[in-house]
Amino acid sequence: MFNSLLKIEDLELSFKMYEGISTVLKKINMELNKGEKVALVGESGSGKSVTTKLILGLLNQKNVYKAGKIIFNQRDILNLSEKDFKKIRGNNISIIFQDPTAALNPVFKIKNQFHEVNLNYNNKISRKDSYVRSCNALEKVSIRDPERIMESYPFQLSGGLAQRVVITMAMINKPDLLLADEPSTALDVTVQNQALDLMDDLTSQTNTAVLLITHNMGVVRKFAEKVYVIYRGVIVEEGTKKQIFENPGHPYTIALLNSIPKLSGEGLPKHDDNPPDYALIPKYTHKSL
Amino acid sequence: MNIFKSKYFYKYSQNPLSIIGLIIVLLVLFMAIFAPLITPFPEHVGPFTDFGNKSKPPSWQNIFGTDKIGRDIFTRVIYGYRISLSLGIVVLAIAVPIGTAMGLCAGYIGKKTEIILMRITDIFLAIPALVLALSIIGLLDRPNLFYTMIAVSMAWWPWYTRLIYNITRSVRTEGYISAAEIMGASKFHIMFKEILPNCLPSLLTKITLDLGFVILVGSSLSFLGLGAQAPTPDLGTMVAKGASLLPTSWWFSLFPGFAILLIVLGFNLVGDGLKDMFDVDV
Amino acid sequence: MIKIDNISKKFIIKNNVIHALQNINLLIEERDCYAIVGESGSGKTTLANIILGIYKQDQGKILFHGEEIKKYRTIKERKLIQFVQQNPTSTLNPKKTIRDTLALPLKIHNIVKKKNLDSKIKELLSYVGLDSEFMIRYPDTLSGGQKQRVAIARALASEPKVLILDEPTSALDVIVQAKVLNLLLDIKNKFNLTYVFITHDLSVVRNIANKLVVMNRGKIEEYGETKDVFSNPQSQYTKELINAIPTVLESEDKLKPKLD
Repeated sequence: MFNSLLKIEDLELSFKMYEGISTVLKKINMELNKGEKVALVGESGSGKSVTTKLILGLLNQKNVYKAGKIIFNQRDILNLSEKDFKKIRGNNISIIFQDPTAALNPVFKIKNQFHEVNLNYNNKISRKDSYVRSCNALEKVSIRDPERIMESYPFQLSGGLAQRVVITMAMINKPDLLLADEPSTALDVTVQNQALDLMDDLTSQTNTAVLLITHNMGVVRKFAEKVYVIYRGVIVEEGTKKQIFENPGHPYTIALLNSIPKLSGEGLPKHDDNPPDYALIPKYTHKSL
Repeated sequence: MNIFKSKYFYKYSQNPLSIIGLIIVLLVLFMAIFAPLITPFPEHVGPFTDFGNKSKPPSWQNIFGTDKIGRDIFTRVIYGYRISLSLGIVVLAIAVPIGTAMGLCAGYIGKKTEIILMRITDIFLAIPALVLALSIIGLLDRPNLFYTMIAVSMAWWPWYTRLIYNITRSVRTEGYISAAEIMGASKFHIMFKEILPNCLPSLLTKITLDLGFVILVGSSLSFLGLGAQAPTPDLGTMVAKGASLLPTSWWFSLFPGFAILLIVLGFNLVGDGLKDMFDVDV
Repeated sequence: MIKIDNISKKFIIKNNVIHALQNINLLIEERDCYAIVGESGSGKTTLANIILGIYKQDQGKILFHGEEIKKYRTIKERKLIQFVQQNPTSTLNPKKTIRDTLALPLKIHNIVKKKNLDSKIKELLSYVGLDSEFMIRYPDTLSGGQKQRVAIARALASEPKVLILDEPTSALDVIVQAKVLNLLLDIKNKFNLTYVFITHDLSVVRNIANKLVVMNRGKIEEYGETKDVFSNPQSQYTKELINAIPTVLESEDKLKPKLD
């Protein structure tokens, strides 16, 4: 109970559009403990990305309807004011996005972007101290010439290097929670693994919990301890990594795993021409060990 | 197909100002088209004098008053809208096709064509519209509405070249363009049937905004004496003639001036509404 | 059928010379599903663009049925080699209906008479499992998988012999990907096509291609029959690539090669 960092209770989200009301999240429930690595896996349209936006307080337009609770550090942040969210973002909750170059402002050098992040930690920090702090952080992640990186612009870095810089920036203030939205999709496979390893290392050191949003089951298996499977705004299965991969219960999870082409080369995955409406099949919860 | 139920109109009507603009534009259009039917003294538009009734301030009989030779100003303002609107339409009917074709060719064909066309465009863009129009008119023998229209068109087409050129450049890298190229589609097809449809939202928005601006420039030219000649009513000319008689005969300039303001405002509001509806930047 | 004969290409960007392709030699035979595998910067997309006539090579030749084809293509050459792109969102013109998009290749290559255009379009849609009501729709109302199906139908319209597929399913969700891959295989068999399949996804290659070539920074690392390369990879780079695949089953893990 006191280990609980993030508890999402009966979270609902709808958008009012011209065509009518579109319900994107239908009473989802999730829980993350301190330092836990959790994956939220689903395909497009499942609602996994808007969940991160809600955790960060980024959906406040007038056509947005929210209900339920997001309890972070024993405090309901669903309807927190923008002023209070600013204190949390970058400090207690950090985020990494899919495209590292999109996360970095192309017209500012890396050192300036680090400085902005450092200001979240101490809004009176001097540029010099900020520079030192950032270089130390980069060295810790085995980046050999941090000064060169600091003086570079984002476009001068390779995709993999940019992602490592972004991960370092996200972790420099030792947040309680790291949100990673498809952090490796834009990267080559070998680089992808390095980025995931880096995330794993850093978050273990600081006991940061990670909520990994992805559609890639292979990445989930490599990284996560606990898994939530989401389909069209509904959590359809929840379990530990071992449970989900060795004994998937819900037909949607099974379909997801079956659709992945296998290394054994047994041919293309079979698919169901007329799949059932997965959202109507009740949630499968594994027995706790 | 009920246009008011469409998704586009819903988005357009999110801003009440856009609706106001639409009402203004439709109202002015209606009045201009049906001018002979709705104005009390249509004959005052031609050679007509009534010195007994001259310079009368606004009254129930002449709601905008009468001018120096006794003509009803309200009627002349409504007919003046006809001139202003035709100026706008003719200028854009000339400028838009020329500018669009040039922008498409420069943006898609590239290389030397692009350099030549865009440098010519730059030259025209460097000269302010009013100055350019004045110099062209100055070259022709005596001022009239037709020459004014040609002159203003010459100042206008480069803006369309630039707009279409920019859109073409960004659309050129899209997958469907290379798909058409690989398929063997001709350059003409790609420019006019693939790229041009993607320019339409920006084009329509800019045309609407420009209608107001062209009318303003046209009125400025006729204020300087270069517009439609007497006795044809022209809003800019009417403002000019009344300027020296302010503030006593205030109704000579005020109503034509206000009429210009109204139509320019209307087109601006509609243009802004379209800009939000299509989500473009012109 | 397609012979890539000693192709090289370099790009010069701001005084930096990038050797995108260096002396590439490949032979793609009829009815192959030939995979070109590599990470970003490997040159696989540059090679595809040269085969399609988008880029011109600096040296070397492309031979199609023994005849050289150059960057400037005749209509006939364009008809026989077609293309499916990676990004389903930008591959269809948002301002054209599906019908108009599919009509274009039919018109350019005179596949059918004007009066038979609509029925041919319905036929193409049926090949890719789409109902004829899709004809009047615009791309923004279609899902990623549906758009990609339309792109495949469009590629089939000119009755080609070869399809170049550039990461055709990478942007799709995993269940949709499985459906589209199955569709591609069905179509290949039905129309006796040759595929050149460009991808970075080795799991897909393992199950769809009979031959593959691994590219690394513009050079060929390894090539051969798929089952041979996977069971006995020769180059260190290939072994690293196979090892990096995010597998989901323990049985798959055991199939990965040991790294030196």
